[in-house]
This record gives sequence, C-alpha cells and structure tokens, in this order.
Amino acid sequence: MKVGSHIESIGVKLPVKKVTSLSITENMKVVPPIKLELISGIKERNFCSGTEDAITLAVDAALDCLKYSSLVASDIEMIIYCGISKLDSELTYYYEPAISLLVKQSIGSEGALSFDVSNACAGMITGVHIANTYIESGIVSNCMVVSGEYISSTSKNAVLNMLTPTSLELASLTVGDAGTAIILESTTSETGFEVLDIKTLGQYSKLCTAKLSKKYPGAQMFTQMQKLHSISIDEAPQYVDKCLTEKGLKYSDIDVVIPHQTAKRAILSGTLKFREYFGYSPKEIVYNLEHNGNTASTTHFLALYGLLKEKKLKSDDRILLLALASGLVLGVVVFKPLGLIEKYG
Amino acid sequence: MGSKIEIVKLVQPLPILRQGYISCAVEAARSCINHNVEADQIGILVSTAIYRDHHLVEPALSSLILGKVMQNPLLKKGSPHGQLQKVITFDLNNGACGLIQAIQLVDTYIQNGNVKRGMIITGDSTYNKRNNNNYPFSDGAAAIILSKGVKNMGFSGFQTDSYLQFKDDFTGICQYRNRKLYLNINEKDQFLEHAVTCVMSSMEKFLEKEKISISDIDFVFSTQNPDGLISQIREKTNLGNKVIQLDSKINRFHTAAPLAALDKLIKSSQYGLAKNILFLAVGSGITVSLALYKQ
Repeated sequence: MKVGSHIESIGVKLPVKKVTSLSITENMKVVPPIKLELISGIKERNFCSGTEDAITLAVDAALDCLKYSSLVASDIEMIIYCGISKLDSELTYYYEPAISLLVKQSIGSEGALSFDVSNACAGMITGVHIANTYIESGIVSNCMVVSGEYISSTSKNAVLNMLTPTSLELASLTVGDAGTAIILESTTSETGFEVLDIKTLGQYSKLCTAKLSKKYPGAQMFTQMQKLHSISIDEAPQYVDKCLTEKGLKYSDIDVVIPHQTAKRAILSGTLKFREYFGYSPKEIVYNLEHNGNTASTTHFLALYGLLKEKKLKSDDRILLLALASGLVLGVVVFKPLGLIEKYG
Repeated sequence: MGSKIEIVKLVQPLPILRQGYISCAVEAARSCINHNVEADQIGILVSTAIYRDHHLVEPALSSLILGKVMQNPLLKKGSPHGQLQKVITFDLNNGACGLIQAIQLVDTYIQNGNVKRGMIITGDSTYNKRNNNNYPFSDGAAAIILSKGVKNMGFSGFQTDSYLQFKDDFTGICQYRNRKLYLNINEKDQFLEHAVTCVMSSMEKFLEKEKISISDIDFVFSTQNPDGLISQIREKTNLGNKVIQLDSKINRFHTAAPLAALDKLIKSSQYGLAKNILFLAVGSGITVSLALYKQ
C-alpha cells in the first residue's frame, strides 16, 4: 500500500483585538467609492497588538494544534513555517534566522528538520505539498506546517497612503492577522490526500507585490485587484477540472469548497464561474470573511478549523481547498476529514 | 541513487547595470536553460535567496524569476529547448543552509517522480547599500539544474542540524527608522568558534551515517562566512586545499557560496577527477547542512 499523508490535527491562534471596517475607513484621507464592509463583506478582523506578532501567532497556533494531536512536541520530525510576514511586534523583519527555528525551539521540537517556505497566500498549501512529498519518500513520518500572518501593517499603511479610492493599496484594507498550524502524518494512500497540486503562472507574478515600506513601519502591498481576480477565475475552473480528472474525480464529487478568502464579491463571482463551467455547485462554498478578513496563507485552515468547531462537517464530506495567490499560484487540495471530526466535535 | 547536477551558472552583477538578485537570478537561469537543457522538463523552481531587491516579501521571488525567464525569446514556441510548462515555484529560506535544503527538496521531488528536472536559484543582493550595517556579502546569483542520476552517482545523503543555543550568534534583520529601512547584520564574536564546532560535530555524524571516511572526500564546496571558517575547516579536517576557498574580496557570497565554489572547480578542470564531493553550509541558527555528491 502506497504511503501518503493526512491531516492529523489543526490549531489556530487569532489576535485578541478586533478592528471593524468602519473604524479603518474613518481614518482614511479619501473615502472608498462604496462602504468597505459592503464591497468586501468584512465586518471585522483581528489585528495584533502588544506583544503579538508573526512568531507568537505561529507558536500559539502550533501549541493549539498539539493540543488536538496524539503526538507530543518531541515527536514532530519536521516543521515548515509558511508565513509571508516575518515581522515581530516592533515591526522588525527577520531575514535570518528562519522563523521555523524559533517556532521549533518555542514548542519543544528542537530535533525537527525545519525551514521556511514563502509562496504568498499559497504558503501553507505549498507547505502541505512539500510535507506530503517528504512523508511519501519516507524522509519523515510527520510534519507540522505552520504560519503566522502579522500583515495588518499593510492595512494601516494603506490608510495613511491612499490618495484615491482606486489605489493599488485598496486590497490591503481587507487583511487580518491570524496563525494556523496543521500536523500531517503518514497514512495509506486510501485515507490520504486525494488531490494535492500546485502550479505557478509566472507571467502574472507582478499583479500583486508587497515590500517593506520606506515610508512607514511594516509593509505595503500593491494589488491590481480586478486583473488578478479576472485571471484567477478564468484559469481556476480548467485547472481544478484537470486536477480532479487526473485522479478520477469530478467536481460533482466535491461537497465543500474552501476558496482563498479575499472578498465577498470575488468569492461570489468565482462561485458563479465554477457553476457555469461545471454545471454544479457543491453544498457549501465556505465564506468566513465577515469576522476574519483575508488572513493570507492561513485562510484555508482557519476556515477548516471553524467548520470543525461548528460541527458543520461529516467524515465522508469531500473537501476542496482552492489556493489563488500572488505569483500567480494556483493550488488544489482534496481530502476527507477522516479522524478530525471526533477530535473537534 | 540521487539526482545529478546537470549544470551550474554563476552571475555577478555588472556595476553599470545596477543589477539586483532577481536580474542576476534570471540571467543565471536563462544561461542554464539555454545550455541544452529542455526547459519543458523543469517542473520545480526554488529560490533560496535571503537578502533581496527592494525588501520584497511577496510574491515568492521564484515566481518573479519564472515570469521573467518565460519572457526569454529563446523559450517561445518553436525553441529547440521547449518552454517552461507546469512549474511549481516557491522560496525556501534557512539562512546559508537554504541551498542544500533546497537541493534535498528538489532531489526528493525528482526521486518521487513528481518532476523530471528541478532548478534552484540562490544568491543575495542589497537594496540600498548606504543603509546596511555590517552587511558583508557580495551581490550575485547562481542557478543549478538537477535531474535523475544513474546508479551509484548523484546526491546520496543529506543532513541538517540546528544548534539553537547559538541562535543569536548571527542575525539579519531589517528595521524602519525615520523614513528609512536599515538592514542590520549582527555577528557575535563567538560565531566563528561556534560555527566551526557545530560543523565538525555535524560532519563527523554525517560521514559516519554515509559510511565514508574524511580521507575519501575529494572536495568540499562550502559557505564562506564567517571570516576564517574555511581556514579552520581546512585545518581541523586535514583536507587542506580540498576545501574550496573563494576570493573573499570579490566573491564574498552568502547563500550562493557553495555553487560559486562548484563553478570555480568546474572552470579549473579538476572537477571531473573528483569522486566524492561534500556540500557544506553553516549559518544562522546555528544551522549546519551537509550533502554528499558522488560522480
């Protein structure tokens, strides 16, 4: 029986402080053409405060993940940190040492093989892809994939910097901070991931860029939102179709889709495009923006954690995670939440 | 047996062009691809650069490099080398050790049958040299292409160890002050001593695991930082000049140093005579990575 991997446990950490869309736009020099909450579907999101940062979010998510795991920290053989943000609470950016080293030391997994991976909002899906490959190869039998996204400085800086309602920094107003962690462990291919695929369309790599800001502490993000969205939803249905077909699956086999959480309108138009292409819509297209915003690489597992906690999943539900990220990176993960329901339900 | 090295290319910036890492990386990647490598077989592209143009944090540098490499007219339809097709890209970072860890990762993808060929690009550049404190590294990039090896040849073993008690010995951080970004490299006085101790400990363990004697190692391609590292490794291993030293005045590479050493040896014609080559990296963490390459 071929060895694959499955999700053994999930952990989440959200910062304490909640910030509403209204309070963000109140401080802007310009007023967006329509209300931010209306166009994004985001009422509120969490922002780091005090000593919270990318590292503490990742560490706390990792500890939460271990709470639900049958493994203890010293059992973890590999840790991949996948966050975009490597900012500490003083907005100092860590080029090195790698954040994965700090995470493994903080949680007590010092012996784990570790490195950081960066792939924009597809970071955690990329981490899952790598972890699965290492587990399949027998290099490790388990791996923690973890991310801490302290990206709210892009929102704060956009508020200060936006001069027109159509600014390239508009998308920055949708972000929220969060940490997520998952543990993958080896299993037979029958219970493992059914589809696990990523690819990059490099010709679109400049449509969304972020860099440390020279004008303000933290980072600034510049997004050609409409173009990025348009290309993403044009490319995604065919890509998903191809990934599913290669594994003998159809879109009608999917029960729950968790797309990357960007904005309500983007998810709705993507849903329509998929329905048009496949002639079918799964029973649930997950949308958790209202209280979290766009939490970058953590969105899929933050949403999955929420579904498990709210007892909205069944063991035989087939779940599809769809990554759409700067790069332009597309990713598809399909699995059944076998073994997870009991732990969180 | 593990993956073999198909080609390596090193690019240093021309001062007049003010090239950063991405520009050098694209040139190195194109140079590799145009050297009789079928581009459409490259299924994975990983960048391990730490210090980069404009302090970019998104998207992954590898996707930007892919985007620019795809614009190469030689890769358009009808090119004898084909086009880049479905490619997985991401950045892998772990200080100076990212390169060897990326080699292990690409090797794993090739051995698994996920991809036929993989490219790793590494190197560093500084954005604004006036605001860099103690930044010691040269700008540049190197690219390497790996493909499936034949029996008893190629990469045969990997090991990475971290010595977290020394995690503050070497740090690279970027801080904002007064509308300026400052890149601060902090290297403690004890870094060299600790780095050498960690290297010797990891190397002993690795050679034992791989069942090979130090005297059977023909060459060591190593990172070069901190100053004095190579001379101490040469002395403590008794490998002498087999540990390749780069000219530190012009070639003070950070993540690209092992590939610069490989490039240097290839150009010297001694490379073909080597049977057992050790790739070695030591950097922040302190982390030590090792890989054994047989040919």
